[in-house]
This record gives sequence, C-alpha cells and structure tokens, in this order.
Amino acid sequence: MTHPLPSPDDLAEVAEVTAAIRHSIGSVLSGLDSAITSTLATVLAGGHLLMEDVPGVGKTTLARAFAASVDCSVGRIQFTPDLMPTDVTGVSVFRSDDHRFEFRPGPIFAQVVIADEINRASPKTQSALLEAMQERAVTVDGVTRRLPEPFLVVATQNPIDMEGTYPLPEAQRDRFMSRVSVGYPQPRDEMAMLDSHDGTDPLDEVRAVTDTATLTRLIDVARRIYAAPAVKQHIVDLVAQTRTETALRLGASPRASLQLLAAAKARAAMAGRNHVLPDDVKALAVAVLAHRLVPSTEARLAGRGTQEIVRAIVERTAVPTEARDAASPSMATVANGS
Amino acid sequence: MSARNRSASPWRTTPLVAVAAGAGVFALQPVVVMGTWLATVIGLLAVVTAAVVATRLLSRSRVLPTLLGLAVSIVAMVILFSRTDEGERHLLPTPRALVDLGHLLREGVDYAATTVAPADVTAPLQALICACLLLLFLAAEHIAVSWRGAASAGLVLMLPWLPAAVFQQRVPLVWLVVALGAWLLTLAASRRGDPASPPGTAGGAVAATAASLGLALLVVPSALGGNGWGVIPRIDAPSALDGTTRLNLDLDLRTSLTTNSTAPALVYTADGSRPEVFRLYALGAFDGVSWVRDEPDPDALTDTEGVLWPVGIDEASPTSATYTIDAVGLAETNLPLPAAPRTVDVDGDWGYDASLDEVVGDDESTLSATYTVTADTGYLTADRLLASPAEAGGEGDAGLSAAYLELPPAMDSARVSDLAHSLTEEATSRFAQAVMLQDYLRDPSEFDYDTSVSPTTGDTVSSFLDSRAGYCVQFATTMVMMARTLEIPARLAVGFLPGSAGDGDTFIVQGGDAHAWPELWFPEVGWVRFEPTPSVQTGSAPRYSSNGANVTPAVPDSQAQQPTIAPQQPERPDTGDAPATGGTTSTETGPSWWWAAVAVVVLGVAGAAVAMWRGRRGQVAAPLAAPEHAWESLREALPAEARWPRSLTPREAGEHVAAALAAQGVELNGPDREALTSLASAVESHRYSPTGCDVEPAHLDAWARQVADAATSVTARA
Repeated sequence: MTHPLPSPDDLAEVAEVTAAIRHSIGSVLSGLDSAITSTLATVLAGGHLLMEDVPGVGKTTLARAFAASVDCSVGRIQFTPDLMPTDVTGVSVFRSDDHRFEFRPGPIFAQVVIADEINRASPKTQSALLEAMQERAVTVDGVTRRLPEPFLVVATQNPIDMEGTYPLPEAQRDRFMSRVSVGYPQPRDEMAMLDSHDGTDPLDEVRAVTDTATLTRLIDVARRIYAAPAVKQHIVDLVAQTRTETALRLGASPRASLQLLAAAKARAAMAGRNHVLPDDVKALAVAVLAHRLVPSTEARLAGRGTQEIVRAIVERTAVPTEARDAASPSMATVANGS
Repeated sequence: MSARNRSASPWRTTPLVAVAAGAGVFALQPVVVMGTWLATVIGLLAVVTAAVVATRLLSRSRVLPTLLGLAVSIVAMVILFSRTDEGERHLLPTPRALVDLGHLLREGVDYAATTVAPADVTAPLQALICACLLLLFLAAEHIAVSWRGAASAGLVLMLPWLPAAVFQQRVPLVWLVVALGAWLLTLAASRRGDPASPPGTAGGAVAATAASLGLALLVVPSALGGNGWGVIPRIDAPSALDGTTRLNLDLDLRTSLTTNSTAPALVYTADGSRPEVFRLYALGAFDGVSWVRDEPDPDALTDTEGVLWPVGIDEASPTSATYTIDAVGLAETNLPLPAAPRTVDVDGDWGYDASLDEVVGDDESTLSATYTVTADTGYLTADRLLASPAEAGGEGDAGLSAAYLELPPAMDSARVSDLAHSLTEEATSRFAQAVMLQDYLRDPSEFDYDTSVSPTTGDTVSSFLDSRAGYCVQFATTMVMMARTLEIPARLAVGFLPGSAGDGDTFIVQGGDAHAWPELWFPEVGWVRFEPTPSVQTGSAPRYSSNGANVTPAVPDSQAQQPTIAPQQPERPDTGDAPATGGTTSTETGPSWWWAAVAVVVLGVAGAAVAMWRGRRGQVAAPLAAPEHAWESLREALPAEARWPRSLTPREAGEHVAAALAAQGVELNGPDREALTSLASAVESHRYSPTGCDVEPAHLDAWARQVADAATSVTARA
C-alpha cells in the first residue's frame, strides 16, 4: 500500500458530509435512496454521472439539488439539436475596443456541470462535452484551458427510443462512471412530493452543506480505502462474465473494472468502513456496468435489458473468499498490451 | 473443536498411511529374503506412527508432527543400528552416531548394489530399508494429513511397488491389496472427516475413480494369470489357475513371450550338482520366422535300458549325478533330460533317439511320470571341446543332416555371415568361435533381455540384430544362424531352466522356466549346449564355455595347456535362495535394479514435491482459516433451505439464513441472531478487512454451533 489507510476521523467526516448531502437532497426528492447513493458514490470516486429516465421523474432536480448542496460553481447546459460545440466549451469573441480576441468560457467551466438531455444534441456537440469530461481540459483556438477541480458532469438523458434523440455511442457511454435510473416514485413518496411542492420550489430552500475543498478531501479519502484481493477478484469475475455472456454483444472494458472498484471504495467510505466489501461491489455493479454493455440481438428481442443481465450475472457469480491466482492480473495486462 | 477439525483426523488417516507404507516392504519380496528383520522394521514404523499421531493430536502445526516423526526416526535408527567402529551401540544421536549411521546406510547401498537377488538382509541393508520406509511414510503422511493430499500421497506410497512393476517381478497379492486398500481408506477418511472441504472438489472424485480403476487394472488381470499391460507386477496366482504345462514348439520369433505360468512342471531331487537345463526337443529347420521340430525316426529308437549316447559312465565317477524327476505338471511326449544323460530308469514304453538326444515315448505322456536319470556332468570340458577335430566342412561333420547347416532364404544371410565372421576373426578353433559368438550375444552392452518383441519383417534375425532386444528364442536362433554361417552344424534345443528350490531338498521347475538354447556340433564330442541368452535370465554360461581365457588367440596352441575349470571341482552348493535366473557368483550379476529403483524414488519424490508446491499455490489443499471453517461448518449444519448460495456475501448470507428460517416458521431469537451477525461480520473482516479477524476461534465455533443448534431445533419442531 503506497497510501496510508484513511483514519477513523477521515471516515467519520465522509460519513457525516455524505449524510448531510443526502439529507439535503432528500428534502427535495423523497424515496430516491439508491439513486442518491449511486450519485454520491460516483461523486466521491471522481467519476461522471449519467441519469437516464423518462421525462419528469426528477433527474434534473436531483442534479440541481446536489449542486445546490455543495458550495460550488454550477454550469447548466440544455442540450438541443441546434446546440453548437462552442456553446458548451466557450468561444473567442472579437473585441472592437482593443482589437483583440477574448475567450468567453462556456458553461462547462464550472465544478458541477448539469448537462440536460444530452442525447438531444448532435453527436458533434456531444463529443465536445465528452472529450472535456475525459481530459478535464478544453482546447479552443489552439489554447488548452484546464477545467476547475473537482469537476463533475451530471448528464441526464431520455431513453433512446424517444423521439428526436441521438443515442450516445458505446464509446461515449463508457466515459460515464455510472448510470442511475431515478424511476417513478412510490405513491407515498409522491404524496410527500405534492405536499412539499405546495406553493414553493423546495430547491430554493436548499442550502450548501459543504464546499469543494471538503469534497476534494473526501475524494482523496475514498481513494485510499483498502480493497482485499478477494474483492478485486470478485470485480474481475463479474467483468469477465460480461465478456463471455452470450446475451451480450459487448462486454465491460478494463476501465469498467477500475471504475467499479473506485465506486465501491467510495461506497465503503460513505458507510464509514476503511475496506471494501463485496456488498459494495454488488450494490454498484448494475449502475457502473449496465450502461456500457450492448445486448445481443436475441436478448434485445427477448426484451432483456443490460440491467437485467448484469443483475443475473451478479446473482450467479460466487463471491470469492480469496484471490485465486495472483498471476492472472499481470497476465491480463500482458494480453491487453499486445 | 477447531484443533480437531483442523485437518483430516490423524487417528484414522495417519495409521492408514502407515499401513499402506508398511505393506510396501513386502514389495521387496522378490529381491530380499523375508525374515525376522521384518518385525524390527514394522515395530520401528509403529513407534514413529505413534509419535506422529500424538503430535498431531496435540498440535495444529502442519510441519511439527513430520519433523518430530523424523527426529524420532533418527533417534530410533541410531539406537537400533548405529555402531561405533568397535561395535558398541550408540544410545544418543550424537554427531558421531549420525556419522556412523550414515556409514552404515552407505554400506547398505553398496551391498544392495552388488548383491544378487534375493539378498540376505544384513544389518546395513536392514537399516537402509528402515530409513527408506520411514522417509516414505513421513512424506506420504505429511502430504496426506498436513496438506490433505491423500490422492497425491498415493504417488509416494506407490514407489516401493514400482521396481516390481517395471521389472515384472512377482509380488504378494495380499500385501498389494492391503497397501491399495489402506490408501483408498485414507482417501475416504480424509474426505469424510472434513465437513468443510471446499466446494467443487471434483479432484477427490477423480482421485477415487482413478484409484478404483487402478485397482481393477492392476489386480484383476494379474490375478487371472494374464500379464496386464506388461508393466504391472506379476502376482502369485493359485496354481489351480494354471493347469498343466506343455511346451509350445511352434516357436515364432515374431511373438512376444506372454505366458508366464507359475504352475510346477517338474519336481526333482539332485544327487550331485544341479543340472543346467532339462532338455526336451531338438529343432533343426528354421524358415526365418519360426522353427520346426525334427521328428524322431521311430526305427532309430533304441531301448532306454542301458547306456545313452555317446559313451558310458562309471557310476562311481565324481562327475556323475543322479536325478529323480517327477513330471508333476508336464504333459509331453518326451522325457526332460539333463545334459549328457547316461542312463534313464523309467516305466513305460520309451525309446532313445541318439541323433536328437531325445527320449521319446510311444504313446506315453510324461504327466505324473517319475523317473531317474544318471548324467555325466563332467563330460563336457573346455579341454575336450578344444580337442575336438572340428573344422568347417571337415570329416567330423559328415553324416549329419544337411539341415543343420541350412540358412533360411528369408534371412539376410550375408549380414549374419559378415557379423559372425568379424566376431570370430581371431578364433582358432570351432570352440573359440562358439564362445566368441556366445560372449557377443551375452554382452549386456550389446543386447537386452526383453520378453516383448515386435519384428515386422520375415527376417526375424535381422530384426533382432536391429532392435537388439529379445528373449531366449531370439538369442538362441541368432547364435544358431551365426554358427551355421561359419559352417558349424547347429540346432535349437528347447526345455527348461533348472528352476528354484522347493520343499526340503527338492527343486521345482515351473512352466515359466521354459527355455531355448543353441546346440553346436563338435565331432567326437557331440551336440554341445551354449547359452547366448543374457545372465539376467539364465544365470552363468555353461562352465566349459564361461572362461574366455581358454580360447583367446594369444595362445594359439592352447589345446593342452590351458587351465580349465576342473570337472572335479566341487560345485558351489546351491542354496535354496538361488533362483533359476540368478547368477551363481557375485561377479556375474545381472543388471542390478537397485540403482534404477533409487532413480525412480528420486524422481517420484521430486514429482510429489512439485505437485505439492503447485497444490499449495493453487490453495487446493490448504486448511481453512478459523472464520472460514466456522462459516462453512455452519453452512453444512444448516437445513438445505437455509443454506446460502455462494454468490451471497457474508452479510447477505446472514440475512438469507434468518429469512429462510423465518420462512420455516421460527424467528431466530436475539442471541442467536446476534451470533449469526457476529459470525458473518467476523468472516467479512477476515476476508476483506486490512486487519483481518481478531475474534478467538473458540468464539467463532461457538457462534456457528449456536446458530446451527437454533436452526436444527427449528427443523425438529417443524
């Protein structure tokens, strides 16, 4: 271990801050525990989040509630078919007073960027966003400008079979650490929602409960969580299964393994644990893996979604009690390198 | 609880391994003389076994019992065997005592390397056997118990039986079955004694299947008198399975020697030296592949009452010997005769064919015939043979059948002739030629004795010269053919080797002692037997031909002056130990198999070590850690519905158990639920936490028992 394990104080802080954010979001949206957990895990793991669901269930509200709970700069981009890449990244404009170009940063220059209905933009604009997400920097007119830290993109999209959408290509979807479905609320939660929306917008009530410096520190704590070989073995087993599963045309990438481990560590940190459990992995497997997979035609015709397939894989994969063979990972590296 | 469950119960497994190892001593039966030394060996093994069992019961260590067993072995060996140069016992394993013990073992190795089987067990050999046995036991026990590799331990336990298997020796069936049985029980015990054996142990099933198959393949064909696949120990089958013996006169050189009957054919007593062979038939015609017997001429038969060929003998001659022969299991039409027979006393209608040197019955069978033969064992001497006026195509060969010089067209006569001539280039007499041919064929660096041959051509002699391996018929045939290319009349004789000692002063010739050899014609002497088949099968060559100095060309005129083995020289008394196939002197030994055995042992141990190392890396045989053990024992103890699937994490498993038991109608109460949660959490910490699990094993087991008891009470009530 090159990094020291997080101290109990660190872990207590993580638990405390995430509980506060959770409570803050919960005051706006009720009954979204699982989605909120995935969101927070993704944030603490330093990844980007894709929210996919039918319109009107609270995707944007969840993203905005999170942004409001953290004292940070927030950019919001409403994607439309005629949105241009420069509308995202910013543009250099000519100033006639001093006869020079001045860079006007786009909305992406913020710590939390809410990209609404990302699949309604043209692929050209989508890739401008996704490249910025990957590189955490934007290049306009030959000048590279770094994006602020921490940098989190929360993209929302409607299911791809809706009218007027450009589905994200597989390679682009792989850049999101996890995909969260909000889902329809329970009747009880919906009742609570109607009450809380009575006359006022609860989003206005949300106050920041933490700041970006704290968030950066928490991200560091999550990175230092211990993962036993058995847990890594579990991740490798799960990912390997997606590659051999006949119902899938495309399995998960090695980046998926890395991000699943990172997310699991974040979840462990949120629970105040200094080590990852297979429970963390299992809880996040669908969120982290499902959106990267492409189902086979048969599975599609049978109506099996990738979420269902991942769930089946998780249910049938034995939880390892220890790493089977220490030689395998290096062999895998060799195989990828060639 | 956990100490007892740590590994397969030593109460059962260790003694079983000891039995399997101890039975291996009896695999030595073909090569050493069994005796009271066995008691010492077995006693020593028992002491070491007790020490190992006791240590295993007291300690959970994997290595300690084996180390202690080793220490006990060394101390006991020192006390039992180690002597100072002055012959005093050592009572303590001082360095000096260990050095002396090492010398003794070294002596044992030397003795084993030079002695002829069956060897008398001297103190050094006994010490060597003890040391090997104890090491074997400790290694097998270590693998079987410490690493739960009962199947792999079988590899080690198999080692003592390998030489017998490779060299096709007879091993006692009972002890082979005991050894195999003990090993199978070890396998069974190590599987049953462990409720927490890891899942998916197809290896165990495979091992058990392999063991059963091995048992079936090894024991069944051998017990039925067959030869299995040619590499398994021959087992003393009851003679009832063998029946009577008849010589197969259809000698086809393309077939392997497969029958190995142990049924007694002849039982005889010898007044005088034992015969070198019992001769039955002469065969003269060879077609390149098989031999045809020379039929006796009924008109030429003479009465057996009286003197047999060629001259009479003084009954008082020191070289005469009398044999009383009982053909208990031989059904032939000719009487088996020793070399140079002079008188035969037999009931029935028998006649003597002088040219074939056969006593032929007229509608008689030898079965159960009893007869007495007097032979002149000193008739053939090197002197007499050197004096024979033999020259190629000379007058002495006149009157013999031309068939004795015929070469089969199928044979590459030029090759055989070239070889024979080049070998005998320096020979000055027919006798020298014969001895040179015999020595060439007996040379272990040139030819190997092998009962399985596979010539594919119609020229079996050339095939033999290419493959350089065969059994008596190949050797004898080749010598006959080489002799004929040198224009020496020659033929093949078949009969029996002199067998082994039976009860009292009798000797027993078994069906498997059947043999063939060449006979070469010497004018004024007669047909003379030579022995080209290697000593591993036939012992030493005939006395008159076994001293090469007699015929070296360095002394061309050797007829009168060469010392020979005097016929009067008293023959070394044959003891009951000398088998038919053994040499008679220590300088004339067959290839000693001890070194091969040592090589096999070394290879086997190395292989086992590699297998163990791999097994350890694969975590196949490692005992479970305490939390995992408690966790697994709980899983085993639960009713099937409550047993969690392997895809559940410890937390999920705990909930699964509680839910499943609740579904059966009974909720786990507070303490039970708490025990379940604590156990799951301990397992979780053990597996995934950087600090591991720090709960006492006793607590873990107690929790597991508590939950299991609660669960079973639920089931009982349900």
